[in-house]
Amino acid sequence: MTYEWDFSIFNEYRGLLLNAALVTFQLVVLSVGLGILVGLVLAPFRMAERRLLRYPATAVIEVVRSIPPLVLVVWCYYCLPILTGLALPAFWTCVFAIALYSGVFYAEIFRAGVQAVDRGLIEAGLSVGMRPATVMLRVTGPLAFLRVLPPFTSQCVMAIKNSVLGSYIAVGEILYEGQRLSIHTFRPLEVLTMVAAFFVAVILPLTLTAGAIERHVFLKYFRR
Amino acid sequence: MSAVSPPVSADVPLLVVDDLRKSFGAHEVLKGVSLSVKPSQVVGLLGRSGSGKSTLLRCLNMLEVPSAGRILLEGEEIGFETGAGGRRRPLPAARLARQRAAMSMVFQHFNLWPHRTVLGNVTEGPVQVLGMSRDEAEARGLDLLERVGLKDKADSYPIRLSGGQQQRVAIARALAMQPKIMLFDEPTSALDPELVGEVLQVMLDLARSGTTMVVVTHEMSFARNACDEVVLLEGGQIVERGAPDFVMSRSENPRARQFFASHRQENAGGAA
Repeated sequence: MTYEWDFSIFNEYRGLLLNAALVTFQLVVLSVGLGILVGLVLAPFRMAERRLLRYPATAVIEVVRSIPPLVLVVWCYYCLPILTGLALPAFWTCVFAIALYSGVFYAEIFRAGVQAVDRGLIEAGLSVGMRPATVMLRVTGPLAFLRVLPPFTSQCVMAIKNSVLGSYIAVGEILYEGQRLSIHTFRPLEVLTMVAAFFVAVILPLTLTAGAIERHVFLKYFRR
Repeated sequence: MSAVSPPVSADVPLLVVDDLRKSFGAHEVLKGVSLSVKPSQVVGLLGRSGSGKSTLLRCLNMLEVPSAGRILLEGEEIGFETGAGGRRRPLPAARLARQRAAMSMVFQHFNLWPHRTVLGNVTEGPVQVLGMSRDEAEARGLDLLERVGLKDKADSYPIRLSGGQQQRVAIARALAMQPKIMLFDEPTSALDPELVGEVLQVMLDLARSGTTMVVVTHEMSFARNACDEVVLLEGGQIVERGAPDFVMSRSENPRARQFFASHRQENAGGAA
């Protein structure tokens, strides 16, 4: 291979890249946080016995889930303002679109967790006089969360990676700024490698930590 | 003490079940069961699987909602209220929860919360439901664990305990609510044979200390030794009731004779 790598451009443009990394960080924190919130709100409706509550939540989940995330982001940016007159800045459009997209998956993950909790443990809560809400808060919720840690982690990883979709609507996150830099410096190999390495460096510690927590939880509470 | 005239105060029933019915779809599991339990009385519910005895017990604290009939604890109807217009309607969740706290239940499969320590399982109800301070709940919880012989396991998680130990913790958890009545739903049926004894011993101690208990069981020796009254159910109806010795040995009721004869055969077969 004769290509001569030149990573000195990163030093030269470190201010721009740090800023882009910061935007990615903000995008990730906001969209993951909001996404979990969307999931926590949608899941109880999705599980409700009343159809009036369950059907709308199911519809939202099924529709959003079937739209490719890139289409959802671009649609929210170009079509939503025309249809509703509501024009948000690209950054916030991206946050809300990714939060909605991952939120419906979080909702399904939480639902699966709650439904996997042994009915007997819920009855034990009721029989010591807990109200249904207390049972959810003290028994069903925590146990459901412990059970769904692996898919929950996977969904967080997906949501983090989806932050690059912002580059399609000119949000100045790491991929967008990286691409501008590669055009400017004619160094796409270095830049794209750096972007890939950036996500590995962000995500790997998170998944390793989550894996350690999973093992700890499993050994402590569930394994004979 | 004379068997002819028991003390008058013990004659006022704590729990009254009046013509209770329960259907699952078209299948009627309870076909009008009436029962009364006096303070400090231990009542055993016996019968084949499918006879409705577990459903009856689960109806008492509304884990199953009865289709008809009434349950009264100290004269207060469980699970329903009668409005001004005389219409009966289900109680709001908060009031039902308060009623349930007075009737703690011990389950066949223990149902200890796996994410709480042994002591955490015992203090959860008093702290969350009774509003007791954590310090007080823990002090009382340790006393109860000592009573069931598991004080040294207070900081373990349930998964580290044997089935018999878990069931003793479950009994301590139920006692921690200071219930008026304890409900046991086949508490030894899921245990290995060698672990049954330790749980029955705890229950026997409770019975002798004056705890009011309703026990669904297949343990004939427990029914004979600990119960003041046994009730035999078949096909969702009570077919015989009375003192253990009468129901289990002397009753002329053919269905009672048949049930207990088959149990004696089983035991004889087990011993051979």
